[in-house]
Amino acid sequence: MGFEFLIRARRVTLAVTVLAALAGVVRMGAPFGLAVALGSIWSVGNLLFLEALGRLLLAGHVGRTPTTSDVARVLGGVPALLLSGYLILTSGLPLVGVTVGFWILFAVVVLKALAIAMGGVLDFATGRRVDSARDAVRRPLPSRRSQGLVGWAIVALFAAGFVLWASAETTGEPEHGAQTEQHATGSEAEDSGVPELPTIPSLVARATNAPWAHAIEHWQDPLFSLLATLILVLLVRLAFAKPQLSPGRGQMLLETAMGGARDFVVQTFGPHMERYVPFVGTLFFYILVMNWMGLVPLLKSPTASLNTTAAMAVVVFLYVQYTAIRNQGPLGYLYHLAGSPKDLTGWLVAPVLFPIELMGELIKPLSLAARLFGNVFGEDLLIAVFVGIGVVLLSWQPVPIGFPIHVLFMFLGLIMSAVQALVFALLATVYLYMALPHGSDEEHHGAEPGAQPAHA
Amino acid sequence: MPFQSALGLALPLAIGIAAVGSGIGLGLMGRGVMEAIGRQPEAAGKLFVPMILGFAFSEALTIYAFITMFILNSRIH
Repeated sequence: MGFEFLIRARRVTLAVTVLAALAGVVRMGAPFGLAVALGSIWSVGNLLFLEALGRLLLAGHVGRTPTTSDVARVLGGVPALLLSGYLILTSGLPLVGVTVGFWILFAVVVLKALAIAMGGVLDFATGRRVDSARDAVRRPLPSRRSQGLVGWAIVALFAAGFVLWASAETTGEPEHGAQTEQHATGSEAEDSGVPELPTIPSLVARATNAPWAHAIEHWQDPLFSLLATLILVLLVRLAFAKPQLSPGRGQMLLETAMGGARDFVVQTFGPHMERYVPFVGTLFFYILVMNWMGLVPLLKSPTASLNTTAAMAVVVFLYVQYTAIRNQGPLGYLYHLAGSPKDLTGWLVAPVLFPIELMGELIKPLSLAARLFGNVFGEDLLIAVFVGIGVVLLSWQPVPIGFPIHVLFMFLGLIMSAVQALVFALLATVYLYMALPHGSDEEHHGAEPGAQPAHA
Repeated sequence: MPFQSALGLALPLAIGIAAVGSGIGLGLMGRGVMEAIGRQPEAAGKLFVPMILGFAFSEALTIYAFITMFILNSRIH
């Protein structure tokens, strides 16, 4: 059932390969075109092998006898692919061409998957798809109208890109160089001595070397944090476009996440903290998305820059001070800062305590910003360093690829990102909790709150 | 000794020493929480928030050293 996708991807790949090989022959000479074609055919061979393997493995489950051609393909596939790959690599054809051809299949698969997802989103947004689980299973493909729209949009995009590429022949190097360049310059130290993975703006800046591209690269952190906002807004908009009593998948997921955040705060700090859940919950999901963006290739965590985290810490600081003054009154706020003196000794110590408490308030946002920045930055740095090591490990052979040892650290990053987002949001909650007048928790509920931490 | 070599020697050491301190702190805290959960498993939920907060505060010290290293890093060369 799922193999239809692969068959169609194969057909598209072959068509694209013919075009790319012809373009290669015209632009770069016959060996380049041949290399593109061979690389693409080799990766299609891989796909055939995987398809046969999948059919063999599934045959027992669906109660079919495995065909002899599948068995032959699986048994003969590994040596044949290894041998032909070795021959292609050592044949002296331009290796950039082989690499380009090799990636065509992956590009087609990714683009097709994206197009199907986009068609689904389009159906969802225009109300063509009723979001019930049964429909999604029975009709996994979007409607023909969406398929047509998305397909023509992709064709138009490609045509525009091709026209740009052809017209840019005289001015600069073609856009296609960026793909392979990314691997070759994986973790090259630029000016600060800190290895950084390439991002879309930095690649565009390097490929075009235009002033506007460098300006975008310079401002990439705010842009990526805007992107995180956009992702969250779109996600929520789509999931809650038509809220239903028996929720669909998207609504279910987001409701679980948001309800979990609320329950967590209410159970730990008490029901009177529920009014701050929108603020700290937004902080949590926003930081989570931003942290995880660093794990996506060609994106960067905006939180790996001190500017982003400092901005959020300042927002938290201002909101905490506002809450404190509003709930305790201006005089009560000062009284609280002086350590809430009750007797003569308290009043005598107050002048000493006051500056200390004041400093504690000011240090809170500092430590908040530095902690998030340091953790995310260190984690991204770790991944970048190991990407570099992976590239070095395989640099003895001529093809620009690397050994993916950084994947291990990506799993670590997945967990650490979530923990750091939780820590930031939790600390914001604690600061807000401490800004409220003491004793309000006894009015609302009897239980002692879970956290009474010392000052940061 | 030129100050560049001094920095080059001191910066990794600084991180390491800071990490020793944080590590001891984290270990003590983790041990306390584990023992508490072992004695009273139903308290695990209540212990979670103070544990994360304690971890965050103690880990922050190493992060400060880390940031200091990056501030001073550019002066080595």
